[in-house]
Amino acid sequence: MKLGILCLLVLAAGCSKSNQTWEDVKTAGNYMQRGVDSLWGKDYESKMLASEAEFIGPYSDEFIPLSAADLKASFGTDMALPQPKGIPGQDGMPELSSFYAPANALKSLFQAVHFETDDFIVRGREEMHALAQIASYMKKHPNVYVVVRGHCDERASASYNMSLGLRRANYIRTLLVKNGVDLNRIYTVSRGKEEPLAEGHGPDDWKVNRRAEFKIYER
Amino acid sequence: MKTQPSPLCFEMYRLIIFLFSLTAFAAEIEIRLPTASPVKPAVVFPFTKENTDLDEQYLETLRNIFVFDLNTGGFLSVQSSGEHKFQGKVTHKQLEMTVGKKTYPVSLTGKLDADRKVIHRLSDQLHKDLFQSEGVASLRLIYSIRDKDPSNQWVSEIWMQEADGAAAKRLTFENTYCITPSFYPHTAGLTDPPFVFVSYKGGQSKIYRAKPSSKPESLIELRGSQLLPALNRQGTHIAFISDAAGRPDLFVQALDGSMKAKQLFSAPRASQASPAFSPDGRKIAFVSDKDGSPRIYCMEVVSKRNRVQLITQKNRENTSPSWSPDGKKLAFSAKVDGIRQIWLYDFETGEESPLTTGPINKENPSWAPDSLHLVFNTDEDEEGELFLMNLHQKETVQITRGSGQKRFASWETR
Repeated sequence: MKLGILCLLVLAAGCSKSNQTWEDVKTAGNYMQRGVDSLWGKDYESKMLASEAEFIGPYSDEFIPLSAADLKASFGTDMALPQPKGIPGQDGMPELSSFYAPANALKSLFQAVHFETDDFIVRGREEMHALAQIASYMKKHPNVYVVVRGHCDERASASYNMSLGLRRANYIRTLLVKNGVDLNRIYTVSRGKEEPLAEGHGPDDWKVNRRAEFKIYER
Repeated sequence: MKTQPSPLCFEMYRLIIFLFSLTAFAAEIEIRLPTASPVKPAVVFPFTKENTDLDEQYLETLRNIFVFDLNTGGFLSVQSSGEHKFQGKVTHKQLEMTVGKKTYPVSLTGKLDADRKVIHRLSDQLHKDLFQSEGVASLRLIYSIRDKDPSNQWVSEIWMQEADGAAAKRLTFENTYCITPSFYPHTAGLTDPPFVFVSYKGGQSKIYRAKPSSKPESLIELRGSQLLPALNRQGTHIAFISDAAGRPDLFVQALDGSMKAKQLFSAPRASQASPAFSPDGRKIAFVSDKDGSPRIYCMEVVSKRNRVQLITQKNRENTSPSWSPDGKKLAFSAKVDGIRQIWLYDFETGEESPLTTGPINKENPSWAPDSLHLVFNTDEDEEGELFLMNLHQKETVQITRGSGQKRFASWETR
């Protein structure tokens, strides 16, 4: 009995350290697993890419882009992706208005991602994890298409929020693509502050409303 | 021989002056310069009538429309006496308006919808002759009304109305989300004026062109979302925001299809919004948060370098710019003490000054062709109304009533 208590005390004292060790072991395990998988030809996102263009593909020739020098200046950490090839409503691609909110089992997977005030970057570790899970689901289900809908709280002007919502939606799209999802299956929409979930006017309501939502379509 | 003041004495003197000026500025002195108000008192006598079927009440209605137009015209304030005296006389179906030594005859129909326009045009003409500034009472406004449909979904449709709030007419029946409309240039007097707007009909925001009599057709064929369109006054180009390249960037495109859409401005980690052309069409003012908070920048449409100039420096949050047709001023919405107010930037002096005060958020200012009048909307708790103001009279006049959130108003041009 006394020995047991002693053991517990020792464990509690070294708690943070042993947690750290366990995390390290898990990480190493993951890398081992990936290494073994790649031997069998299973492909994660660890491809050797020579340039950004190789990753995102060439820009479409629909518009005249800014000259390369302007774009290359400092965009490395904030990559922009061209829009999907399939135009909604054409060539068998449904209109985005026929995308629907994920139901039942998928509801908990495709949960809204939340943002800080006037920010478009996902900062929560849990939400990053949730996005990675969405990405792995989409990689396993190549028939599923997604539209990311960016929303804002009520405090800035309606017009600026239209752009901010678009920024948020595109950032989520970039994260999914970086997690290996085909960029041609993710569409973006901004709803600005036009569709608030919480209709109150306090900090908690604003927090709920600053979000990116997912609607899906299975082809 | 003259004695020179010692340098030490001189320094002491400067120090005292400096310290004194510090205390003086701490008390924030406000100097008001006496300026002659451009607004003059006027009197509008009740219309007299002779051999006419039009009854007293109808004539009083017309007189009230006329008084509203004068009061909001920016040069006159209708009172019980004044130096400008307006005497209206109705004979049969003719109204003769006499002011000073000049008489203006106009034909009435007896139908309010038509006669209201007659009065507006008369008022505009009077302003042109008396003050060398053609009035804007006869010009229409286009805007959107947002409301909940029976199934509790938010919908928004495009409407137009006269500048005094009368004759509101719904223009779109899309049963979806239509916002940020503007007329093409030179639509004044047209019964079927073309306009551009953004619709979410397919689920994604796209820019459309329509007329009241015809179905909307897609104007910009780009992938992704398109938002916040702005036409130049020459009617040759359209500027808008699009994520065709993966973030909300500023684009410009020729309306005749002679040039592909061109990505004009993009910045890392930034959203661009609300473009507005200068009256000569050579520059664009737009919102960007590239340096932290949303501010208004200005750039040339045709330039080799992607160089932008910061315009708003006083306040942290500035949005929805509108360039005055005379090119001298920029109206925008700026957040002051947590409330969005309408502000003015003067291109000649480089100064920024507030136009409105009060506890309610105001945004989306838009200039009338006379560079004197502005329309803007309030934005508070899902409610919004349109207000009229001019630079001579700081009072704002509410011109919409009824249900729904009225927003994104802009004027038609002659």
